[in-house]
This record gives sequence, C-alpha cells and structure tokens, in this order.
Amino acid sequence: MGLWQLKTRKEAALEPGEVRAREAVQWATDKVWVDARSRSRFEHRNIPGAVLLNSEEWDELVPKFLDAWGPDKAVIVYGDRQGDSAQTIAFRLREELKIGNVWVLHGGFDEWSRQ
Amino acid sequence: MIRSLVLVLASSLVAAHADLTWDKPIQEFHAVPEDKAITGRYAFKNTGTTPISIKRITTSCGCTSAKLDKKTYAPGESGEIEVKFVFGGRRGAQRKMVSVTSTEKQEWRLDLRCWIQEPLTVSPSLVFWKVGSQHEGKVVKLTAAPGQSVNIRGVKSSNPMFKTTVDTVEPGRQYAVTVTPNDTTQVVSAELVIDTDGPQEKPRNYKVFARVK
Repeated sequence: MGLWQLKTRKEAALEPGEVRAREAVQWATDKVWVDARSRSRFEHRNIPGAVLLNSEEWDELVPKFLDAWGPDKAVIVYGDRQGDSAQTIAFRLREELKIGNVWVLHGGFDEWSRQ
Repeated sequence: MIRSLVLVLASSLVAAHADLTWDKPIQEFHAVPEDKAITGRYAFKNTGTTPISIKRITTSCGCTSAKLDKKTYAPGESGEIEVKFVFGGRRGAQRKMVSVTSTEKQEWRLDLRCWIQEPLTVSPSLVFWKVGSQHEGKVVKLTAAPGQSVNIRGVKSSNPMFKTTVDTVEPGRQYAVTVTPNDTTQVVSAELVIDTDGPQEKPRNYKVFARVK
C-alpha cells in the first residue's frame, strides 16, 4: 500500500466498518447486537436483546452468540466510547469465525444511550 | 492587480496547510504467545507547508503504548511513532487503535492488527449451512505455528448429526477437517473438539462450531 492520507474527524467521523446508531436501528435486516464490554458493565445496562461477547470470556460466550446469530443477520458490536473492545470483537468475528456483515457501533454504548 | 491578489490569497491558503501523510497506517503482525509483545513503527511525513505539532497520542488499550521522539515537525520532515502491544493473556486476532491529534485538531487513526497464534491455527472456527441448503462438506484448515509440530489425535462431535473426517496435508504441520451435516432440513448445532498432541508438555484441544441455521 502506498501513502495513505487519513481524513480529519470533522471530514469523516465514521471509520470503515462503523455505523451510527440512528442508521443501524433503521436497517430492515435482522440484527444481533453484541456487547463487547465487561460482564459487569453489560449487566448494569445494555441494549435490549444484546448478547454479551467479550475477549475475557470469548471461548465461553461464542456458543451463546451463535444461538442468536444467523447467516442473514447483521452483527453490530458496541463497546465503550473509549477503548477497543468493539473493534477487537468485530475483528475476531470476521477473522476467526469468518462472519461477514459485522459492524461497529460508532460512539459505542454512550452514543446509543443518547438516541 | 486582481490576478496578483488572487495569487497572494492562494499562496496564503497553501501556506496555512499542514498535514501528515503516513506510510503504513494499517500494520499487520503474526506472533506466538512467547513473543510476549510486538512493536509497530508508523512512519509519517509532514506534507504540508507549515510546521505541525502533535498534541496527543491516545491508545485504545492499557496493553498498548506509543512513543514519539519529539512533538513538532517542519514541512517535509519525517518522523515515526513506535507502538508497542504487550499481549498479556490475549490470543487470537487482536486489533489495537492509536489516535494521533495535532494542535490544529487534526486527527489520524493508526491501526495495529495482530494474530497471536496458538500452536495450531484453526480456520475458520465456524462452519454453517442455511436450513434447506445442500449438505455438502465444509473444510476447516488446521496449521501448526512455525517451528512447531502438532498431530491430530481425533475429532469429537457433540452431536452425531455432524460427521467429520481428517485429512493429513503435511504430517505435523497441516491438516484438513471436513465437516458434513447429515441433513440441513432443521436447525441443529454442534461443538467439535479437535484433540491434538501439542505442545508436548500440555496438549491442547481446539473448538470448532458447526451450525445449521
């Protein structure tokens, strides 16, 4: 890859593979919301219907995620506003399970809460 | 007169421009747990016409640190951000983001992707069929990490609705497990456990998920 210029936040707030909450909720396709935060934060508050899947409990939680997942569903992963939990889980879903149609919720749970 | 004014205005606009151009803002690494850490070097150049100052570098994880030699770079000057990712107990595909912000509030994102390999890499770890689709076999590739020899002792399925066969591509190095559902007329799931003899001191099992959905 040659030189690659990144844009400023003002010009392009969304990173590749990210989606805004207000856009995601309007998708006609079925969705699986994946909470990539810690179990304690998930249990405190989460997006209704979300399944927990984080790095700490990856092996134990994948089967439950797969129960909710389907080949025609979009997967939307969210974490905290700061941190890389959502990016990492989305990456693992794409790379290890080879699941397509995986998105990261821009701004994470905080942005969803503000909707 | 007007032409001169336009030229002056244009040149002042160009002069106000400051920007960083990155050589490889996305970097990929393959490592084994014993490496413990990897370091990415993100080279950049000030391709603008005014000096640029880095105000802040933020990493997305406490496991990742970033180092920069100095803060301000003149036009045409190059620099490098050193990003170190310490694995800790992390395994598998990992992604770490680094955010670089200038005093002019420009922001760039650096992306570090690292595959921390187990003694055996399983790809993919999910095989699935849509309900009603043909129930042809799907292949899971097993590849030993460089310098390691791992043999497959067997594969156990938690559900007899899935059959498995193991083919040796390269003894100790590469295998192919073919997974086939008996039928795909209904939703069914299984966990397949791949039993290996490596590493010698503590042989590992690996899971593959099979689903008809």
